[in-house]
Amino acid sequence: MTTDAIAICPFCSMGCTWRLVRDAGTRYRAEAPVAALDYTARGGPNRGSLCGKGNMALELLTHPNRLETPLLRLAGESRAAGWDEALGHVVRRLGEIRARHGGRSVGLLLGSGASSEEAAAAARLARAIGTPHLDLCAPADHALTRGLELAGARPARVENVEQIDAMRAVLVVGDLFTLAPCAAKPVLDARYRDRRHTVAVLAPTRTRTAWFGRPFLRCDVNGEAAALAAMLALALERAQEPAPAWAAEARAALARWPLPDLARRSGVALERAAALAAALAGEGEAGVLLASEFGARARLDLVAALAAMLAEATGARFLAMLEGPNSAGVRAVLRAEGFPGADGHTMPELLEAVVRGDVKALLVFGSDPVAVSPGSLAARAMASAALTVVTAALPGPAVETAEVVLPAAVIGEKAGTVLPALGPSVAMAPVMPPPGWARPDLQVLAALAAALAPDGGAAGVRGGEEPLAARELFAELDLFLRAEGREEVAVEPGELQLLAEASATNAAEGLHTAQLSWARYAHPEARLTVSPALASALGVRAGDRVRVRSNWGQAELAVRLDAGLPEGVVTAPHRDPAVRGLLSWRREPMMRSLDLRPDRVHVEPLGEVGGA
Amino acid sequence: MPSGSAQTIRSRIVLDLDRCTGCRACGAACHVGHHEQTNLVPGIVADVAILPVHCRHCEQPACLAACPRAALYRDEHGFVRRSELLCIGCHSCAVACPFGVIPDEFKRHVAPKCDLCVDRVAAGGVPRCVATCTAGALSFVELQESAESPEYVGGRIRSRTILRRA
Ligand code: SF4
Ligand code: SF4
Ligand code: SF4
Repeated sequence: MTTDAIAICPFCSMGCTWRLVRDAGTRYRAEAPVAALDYTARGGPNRGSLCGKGNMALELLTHPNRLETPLLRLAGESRAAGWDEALGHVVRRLGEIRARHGGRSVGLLLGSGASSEEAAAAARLARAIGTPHLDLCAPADHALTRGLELAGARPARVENVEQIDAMRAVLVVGDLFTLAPCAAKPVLDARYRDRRHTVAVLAPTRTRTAWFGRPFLRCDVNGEAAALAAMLALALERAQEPAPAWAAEARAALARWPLPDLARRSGVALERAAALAAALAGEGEAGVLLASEFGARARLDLVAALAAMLAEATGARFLAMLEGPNSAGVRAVLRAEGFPGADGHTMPELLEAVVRGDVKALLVFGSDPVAVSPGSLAARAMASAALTVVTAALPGPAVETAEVVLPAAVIGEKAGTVLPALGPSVAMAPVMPPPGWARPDLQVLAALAAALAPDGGAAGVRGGEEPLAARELFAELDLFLRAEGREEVAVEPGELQLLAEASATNAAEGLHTAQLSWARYAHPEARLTVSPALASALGVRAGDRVRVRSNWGQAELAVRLDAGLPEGVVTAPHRDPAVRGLLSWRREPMMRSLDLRPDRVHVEPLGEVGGA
Repeated sequence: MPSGSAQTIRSRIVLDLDRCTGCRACGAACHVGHHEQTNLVPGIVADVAILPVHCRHCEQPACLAACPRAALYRDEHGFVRRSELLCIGCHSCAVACPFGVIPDEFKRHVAPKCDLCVDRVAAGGVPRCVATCTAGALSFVELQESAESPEYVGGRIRSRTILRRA
């Protein structure tokens, strides 16, 4: 075997590495200049392993459906175009829109596969256009990273997997093993090396990660924030020193909620929360590991902020595993560049502004806002904008409607820097050239910025936001806990909460993974998971089809049973196109990020006709 | 008794039930490494856990006996293998295998059959599924060791994870 090159995995923020080798085992793959993935690449946090998605990394680079030529969709007709023509068209249309409505009528979104250099180039382009509207396009990562930024907490980062191996107390929030399966090995090493170690998992359902929780802290649906707040209050009582800067404010704010009350709202018994807070603060290395694979969960921003504060208060190391390979890097660069400006729109605000008609042109680099977000807002935004430009590697709903589609290079085909969840930034080298005429977004961003010289009248873009004071953050928590209290009362008979399914199905429906053979291999069909009790109440068995209705739409799904589901909860993969139509999202006014909270649904068995 | 000898296989794949997260990376690696013919079957335990079910490369393989075309044979390393050219996709081996490791879903009209990644093992490597396992659940261990060491499968079963999962 000969090693050709080492690349970073494009499918989550773990930053696993893989390498291309010629391998007799795949001699039939004529299309790839290099033949197979090797699982023994050293140097990455994966230490030789690769998850199901990672195994398909080469397939993304050699996918038969890769977009290779720019497309123009004019008067309903789409046709291939040259780069000069396509970019010329974008510059002309942007110029017109800017002349008529001003720079602020243009909005930019950047996918999580963008390199940090591309994020910086996007900031230059936004400045050239004269718009403050530039943000990351990845809903769960958006909410999570905003929460972390606004919390202003500074816990010690997990720098490498060896630190996880060595932890004797770990709290995992979210379904870490589904989002980043390669993270399982160090966490399980920490758990099994010495059987007295604590690996606690906080989740409302028995996720793939929760199976391994010892203890598994089962919280109520949307109970994560309250559980973390209770643990934070307990940790702050134990007066760590030096206390974090925000400790006094946090103590005062949390004093409004008696601990038993917080525990009751979270669904986690107070003693168990106290034991865990003590374990995290105890002797030796401890860690709080947060995964953005929450799907439909209320207030991810608060959950993230509280998890980071808990880590800081207990002296534990903190890790935020994101869905996007470089969501963290993109957000860090944009923040440093002052985007979205104080008067600029965050991602959900931007989509709303496009639908309202305040923003006329939507430029999306390396993402598909329709495919990655639940509900119909992104699809409506794509339909309402006067100009839509999308750079993409594979076809998707946004590609099918955009006026201009530019073929993009993916990680593995472009150079640049990525900031993975663990450790420092990684400089990527391309392992093969992009297919056809596809180009790295960096070239497109630079070309557009050069062509759109700042118009003299455009107001400068004002700087980014400050972190919220702890007081404001806890005021948000207050509002959330009170609102949740009211909603509990408001459940109607027959109504169920639809939670995003915490299974690999989600992973198989990411931006690109849905189009890889992994998705067909692992998860052929989206199913609605219900409890056996609910199934018998409905008179359905596993495999039967049911109709699911929400305020926003309906879908027909096959049923799967899970005895571990709490009462009143059903789960489904939230990125499946059918399920997406059942969901809604809200924007939180204070945090200005998405709130992907569960929607209320009704489930009914399909009659003879539909069930046949 | 089939021709060849099982003596030459020195190692086998062992699954640590306590560590498998059901991520199916092992199957994905197998799928990628065998031109999209997935030789590794997922065993679904009561719809809660997914565990890979590997070919045992049995001493007296029922699949081999059942094959009407002699498409299954034991190779010089002792691995039970299947010739793609001879296989007619009749499902006999899939029905005969007592462990259900030959999938019912055939690719390109031939039965997928684990070859223990003979290309890698012959070169001194470990099978793809073992190398890629994200949880450290799969290992490729000497036969002696796997039969005797309580560290492996047996010991972990006694920790009752499986009972808890079901
Ligand atoms: S864990 Fe994440 S980075 Fe590693 S192989 Fe899987 S998707 Fe890629
Ligand atoms: S040993 Fe190789 S052929 Fe057999 S199941 Fe594992 S990856 Fe597949
Ligand atoms: S790769 Fe490892 S953890 Fe994942 S399903 Fe296979 S044996 Fe289990």
